[in-house]
Amino acid sequence: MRTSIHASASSEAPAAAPALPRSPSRQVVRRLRRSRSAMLGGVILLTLVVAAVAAPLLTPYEPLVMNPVERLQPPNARHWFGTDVFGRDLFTRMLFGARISLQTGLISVSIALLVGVPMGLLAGFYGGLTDRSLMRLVDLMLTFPGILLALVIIAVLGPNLLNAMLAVGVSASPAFARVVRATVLTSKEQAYVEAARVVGCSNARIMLRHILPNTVAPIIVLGTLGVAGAIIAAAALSYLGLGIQPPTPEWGALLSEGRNYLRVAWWLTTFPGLAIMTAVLAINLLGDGLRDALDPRLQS
Amino acid sequence: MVQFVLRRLLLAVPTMLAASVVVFLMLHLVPGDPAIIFFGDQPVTPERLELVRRQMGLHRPLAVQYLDFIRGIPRGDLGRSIHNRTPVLEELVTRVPSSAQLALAAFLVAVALGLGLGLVSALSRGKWIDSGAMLVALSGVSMPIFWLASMLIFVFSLKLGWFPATGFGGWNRLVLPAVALGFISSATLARLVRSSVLEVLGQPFVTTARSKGLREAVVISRHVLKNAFIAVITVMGLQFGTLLSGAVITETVFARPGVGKMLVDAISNKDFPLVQGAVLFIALVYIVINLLVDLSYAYLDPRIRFE
Amino acid sequence: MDRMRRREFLKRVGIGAGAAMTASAWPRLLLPAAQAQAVSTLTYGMAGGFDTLDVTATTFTRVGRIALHIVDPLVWSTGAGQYAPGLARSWTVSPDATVYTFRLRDDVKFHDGTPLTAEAVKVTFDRIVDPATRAQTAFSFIGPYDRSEVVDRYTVRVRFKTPHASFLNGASSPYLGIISPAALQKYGQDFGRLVFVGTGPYMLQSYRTDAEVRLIRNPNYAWGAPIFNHAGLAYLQSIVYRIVPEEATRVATLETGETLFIEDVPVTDYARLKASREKVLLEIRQAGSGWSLMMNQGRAPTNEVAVRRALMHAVDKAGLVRTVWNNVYKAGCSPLTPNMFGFDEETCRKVPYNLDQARRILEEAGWRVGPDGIRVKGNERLRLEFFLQATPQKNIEMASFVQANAKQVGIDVNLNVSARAAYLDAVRQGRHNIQFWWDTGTDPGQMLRILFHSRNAGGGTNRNNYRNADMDRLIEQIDATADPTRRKELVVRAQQKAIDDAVMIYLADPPSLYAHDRSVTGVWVDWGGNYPYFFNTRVQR
Repeated sequence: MRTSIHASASSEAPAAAPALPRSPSRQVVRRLRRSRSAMLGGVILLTLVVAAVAAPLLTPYEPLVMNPVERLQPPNARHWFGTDVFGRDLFTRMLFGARISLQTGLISVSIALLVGVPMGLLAGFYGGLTDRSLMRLVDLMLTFPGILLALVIIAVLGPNLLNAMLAVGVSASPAFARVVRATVLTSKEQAYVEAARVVGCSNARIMLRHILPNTVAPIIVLGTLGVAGAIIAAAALSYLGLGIQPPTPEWGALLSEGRNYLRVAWWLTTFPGLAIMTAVLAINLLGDGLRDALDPRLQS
Repeated sequence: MVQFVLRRLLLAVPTMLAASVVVFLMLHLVPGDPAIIFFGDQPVTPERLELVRRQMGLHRPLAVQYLDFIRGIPRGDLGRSIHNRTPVLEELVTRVPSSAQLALAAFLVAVALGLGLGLVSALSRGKWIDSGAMLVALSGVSMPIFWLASMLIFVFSLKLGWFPATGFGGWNRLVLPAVALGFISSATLARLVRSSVLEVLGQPFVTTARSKGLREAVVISRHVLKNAFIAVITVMGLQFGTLLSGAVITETVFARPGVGKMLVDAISNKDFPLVQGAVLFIALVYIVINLLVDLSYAYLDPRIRFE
Repeated sequence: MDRMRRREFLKRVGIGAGAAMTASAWPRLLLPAAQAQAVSTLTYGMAGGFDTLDVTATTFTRVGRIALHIVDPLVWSTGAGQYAPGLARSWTVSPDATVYTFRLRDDVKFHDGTPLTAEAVKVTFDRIVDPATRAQTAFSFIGPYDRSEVVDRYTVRVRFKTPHASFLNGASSPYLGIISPAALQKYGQDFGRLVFVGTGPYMLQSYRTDAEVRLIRNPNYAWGAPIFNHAGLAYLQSIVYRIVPEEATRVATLETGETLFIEDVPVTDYARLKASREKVLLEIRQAGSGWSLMMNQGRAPTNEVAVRRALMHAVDKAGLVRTVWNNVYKAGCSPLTPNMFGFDEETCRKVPYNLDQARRILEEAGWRVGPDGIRVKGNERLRLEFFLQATPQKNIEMASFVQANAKQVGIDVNLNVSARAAYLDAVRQGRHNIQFWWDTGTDPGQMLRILFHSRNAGGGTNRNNYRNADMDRLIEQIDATADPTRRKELVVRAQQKAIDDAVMIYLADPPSLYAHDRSVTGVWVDWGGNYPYFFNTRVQR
């Protein structure tokens, strides 16, 4: 039913069909493997994660130690990505920054899930007043541009990494709420749900065991894309001076710091910018591939 | 249909009120005293501070402050900014044209890019063009906007001299900021267009139509375009509000006046009347756009009826 | 079916029209426009916005820059403590600096046609102290103002409650520029917001908030101050001040010709613009108090003299100006910048950079190095809370450098980059151990008072929370003394005392950096580097 487009306005997630006879996850994986772009995205992401985790092993330099003698060096044999105004090796800072940026993405999305999924679940399942009031809340949150919402949250709580993640997560949660609600609405009508009710399952059990699994697919897709969005949002907050505290080398902060050096030290903006772009692009490709793989309708 | 519109507009009032109450309370949670912010790092005696605080009306109880604000609305009086004492309505009116221009221009860019890339990608599904087009679209959301904006200025304004980097007035000043904003919005649209077009192409009637010969192109394209437009309206409906009032970074980098920057500054200054006024405006825009979106759904898809 | 066709058709037409528009307009690049403007208009790139165009009420220096073209000051400052006639032909100061008598020119008219009289001066000054105006910088310049007396049509006597030796300094600033009483009466509360009527060589044409201010030439201007050697109208027909907050964009506008003059040139563009053949870089040492660190004596551990003194020795100022400022800034020594009246050179030798000495001071005070390199005394870690604002970005670089310096001697400096509201909240409540300070100004007494007088402590501008009766007395004497020799002695004593009492750390003295196109000539900037003045400016083709 195309009404799903209207109900879940921010995602074209399909209403998942009831379980197929063969293992659905294996089917999904197979479809995923067939998509070249998704595979590319996955490989890049994996590389980044490995690099982030193994950061200290991959570089002899420290991300925070200043070495003004070597300041503002262009990329060379000793400093692959050059150095910043304090002589700190950019490659090192980016490796350590990868940890923080990827973490930021994951935690922000987790928060968005924690807030958005229950809202959508309850609204879709109970309908009526619960639905209307929760959706009114979601509407209220969607009225404001994400950046303003994040701004106010950080203004109230104070600028540090955790609050930035909270702010980004909360501003992304309405999207999850809507998607989950849409899926719940369609799943609610399915025969097996009726059956479960007739048999006497409690509401909670029905929600958790029968309906929630159907939301997994759109959540995975939205979540993957959400990680990408969260990294970008964190960069925007750094630009406004509301993100992470220095001297921590988060990518968005590196990009923001470097942008004023464009004419004298192009490497300070270019490499963090390319890194963000690559990482986010990879995650987006993977997410799109997942969506294609999970959607049985796109089978022409 | 008129009933529908009227009912929605009536329902808008409580929504706007709710939004303004929430924002009012949240702004009070933000630490900082507007009078102190006003003086900043200037020397000021406690007496003067108190005097200014009274001038700002901050000595009144919260409920009174809020009600005074609401009382003025039917008169069209949104109060005066406590930071620079300009009437709030005037502050809005001087900035809305610039923001609206930018939002519309970005909208056009986003639609052109999104439709174009999405259609191209869907019609050549699986081939390199598909991945290529999607890659282009996705790179829009993979770049922080301030980076994209400064790169655009560096290349197109500084190095090539094709467009001015700043200012408001004249279409050539709109190009770079609209491209920056529009490019980013186009990504979601491109994806949605692609998947809805693919959905249409996957329908059984398409195979039937195909077997009949040339006339099917007309039938298919009708459905394809209709779905594409639904996608456009859905996505851009959601995003237009953000384009209008959330473009603070674009406005800053390109030195354009705008509602986004005004709101961010107002929040930093804890300028209650200005924030309230801006929030009402944003809520109103959001409601109107939602209404337009829903009306156009009904127009495009007769199966959707007004409840 | 028809609907579909129509929509499709419209879409195609739209795209086609767009393409046609683009194609036809392509050759019309922006540069020809810039050349056309160059003859009669100067576009000025400002580094940020401001609160109000009402120069009496504002705190922003850039409003002063604009306003100096719309109003004329009574006197012009030509050097530290030196003044030349402006609207006032001559003046006398009573020996105790409580009475100033000005004889005004008789040939001056406001933009609205009304003549300048002593009454206008009185109205202007009375307005500054009126609480309804919410005057800020103007208010601090006017000091202990009592009242003004109209002696005759062109003579006005200004009286102060207590001695105010630095009044002429304020009177030479745009903040005390003379405004039209007739316009004030006519526009009431909207004066300053919608209109601003003075006697200056330019008039306010329009103001678009957050975007630009347009000035046009005053066609009746004939009373240029003698120091400008220019009797008639200004040469430029108009000046447009455009707000371009992003530094990279602002510099780009200068290079593309969108602006002809910019302020706040970033240090990273210094070398390039200095060497440029098409652009001119103006570098003027700022007058005032350079970048420095205030150390909060009201909060542990900066309440300990030892900690403060150790930090003073631990900061590598030469390294700071080299690393962060590319040596464009000079290392700071004193609460006053070197071009200020009474600057004491000795201060530069009093606190040398010496890590060992810093460590020794801390050891002797009982701070022993802990396992992670940070010193502890009993249960207390030697941790300092450094509050700073997110902009300008150089703040953060300087703070990071100081943080690294401090770490070397075992002090843990924690950076709290905050938004403006939270920052002001924190520092006014004294939750900080260190914060930045930077101020411009041309009077030493005023600078010292802001920094060190006890009345400004406890939430005011003296965020050192330094309360010392001797220092208070010194400052009050400086304000009360008109005799330059004696005044200088006092100013020197105050600087020495500030350093002996380990109140602040003086990091770097900035220059004001402006840049303009080579075709722009005749730019005058006050000796303090704050106000570029375009009365004599021409744009040569």
